[in-house]
Amino acid sequence: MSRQPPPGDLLARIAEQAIDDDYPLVAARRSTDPPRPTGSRRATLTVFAAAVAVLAVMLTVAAQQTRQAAVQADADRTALIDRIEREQAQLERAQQGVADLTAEIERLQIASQETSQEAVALEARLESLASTAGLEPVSGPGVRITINDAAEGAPATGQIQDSDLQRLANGLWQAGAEAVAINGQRLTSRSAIRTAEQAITVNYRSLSPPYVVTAVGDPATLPARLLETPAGQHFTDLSSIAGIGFRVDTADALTLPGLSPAILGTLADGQANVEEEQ
Amino acid sequence: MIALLGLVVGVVAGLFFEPSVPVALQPYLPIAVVAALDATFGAFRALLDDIFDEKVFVVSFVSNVLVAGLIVYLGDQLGVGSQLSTGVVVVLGIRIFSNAAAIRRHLFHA
Repeated sequence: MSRQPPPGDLLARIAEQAIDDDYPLVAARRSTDPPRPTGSRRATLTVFAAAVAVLAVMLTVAAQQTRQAAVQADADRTALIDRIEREQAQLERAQQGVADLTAEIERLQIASQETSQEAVALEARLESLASTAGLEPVSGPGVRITINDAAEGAPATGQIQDSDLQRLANGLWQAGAEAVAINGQRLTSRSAIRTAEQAITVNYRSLSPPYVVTAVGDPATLPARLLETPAGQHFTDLSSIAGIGFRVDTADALTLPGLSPAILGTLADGQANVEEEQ
Repeated sequence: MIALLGLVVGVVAGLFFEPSVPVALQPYLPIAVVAALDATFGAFRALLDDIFDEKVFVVSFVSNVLVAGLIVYLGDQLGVGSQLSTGVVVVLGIRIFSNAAAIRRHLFHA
């Protein structure tokens, strides 16, 4: 080295000592030694060529490896992007599903509210219809009306006719009775009061006097309102003219039996009910 | 001329055989290549200076590669692998440039 770099200038020193120190050292030692045998130059070149070949192999391998790594990384990135897009699409689908389901829940809640309101209304209606239909037993305060035929030997008008009981039943409905029964036979919307073989039948059951008509309703108003109806007038007349027994009592606790659906079913569809006959 | 032949032979061999490098040594291959490049440029300069010696060359070639790989390995173990790699590349790069400049002066007298 001809020139010594200033101390501390690291980069300059590196540049100055670019060649391995051994080369000048060995060269200096060789100049004092006997000269090398001939053919040495060729061997020197061969060694150099071999080293260059090794370097070339390493260079090629490293370059190829880098390229392969880049290709692999590219493939990985592409696969990753694909996967991200797939998952995002799935997420969108799932979110859409959530929105759909939320909308459906809202719709069903509204429908459920409507249905329950409807159910309440239907239940109330069923309750009112059940008492009219006579399916359920009814109990409560009401009136008990006892009717008896006139004494023996009285004129024919002294005998209670089915039409009389029909009138009375209608009068009771008119007066606001909730449920009516005659001799324990519940009057339903399909019951008929008929005469058959000298006897009055209700729900096809023959009844015999005295007829006890029980009606559930307000005991304070029912008797008075009954007497105001045509039926009440009719029975007042019957009582005074034909001598028919007609007594109205209030009762604190009456229980009217229900009509079993089986019996209700036997009452033919075509059979006119009490109201319709009048 | 014989050096050029060696270069061609090496590239062809590398492309043809595609030798696979063990995974553990893969990170050190690039730095080893730079170290070998430095040794080769130094040798070429020495050749032109007429002070070339094959024993010195082989030793410097092998030791350059090993030391460079060792430094990067140590750096990896200490967590400063990339910084030490950069340092090695800078030092060897300066040397390569310096040697290349000397070779250029020899060949073209410029």
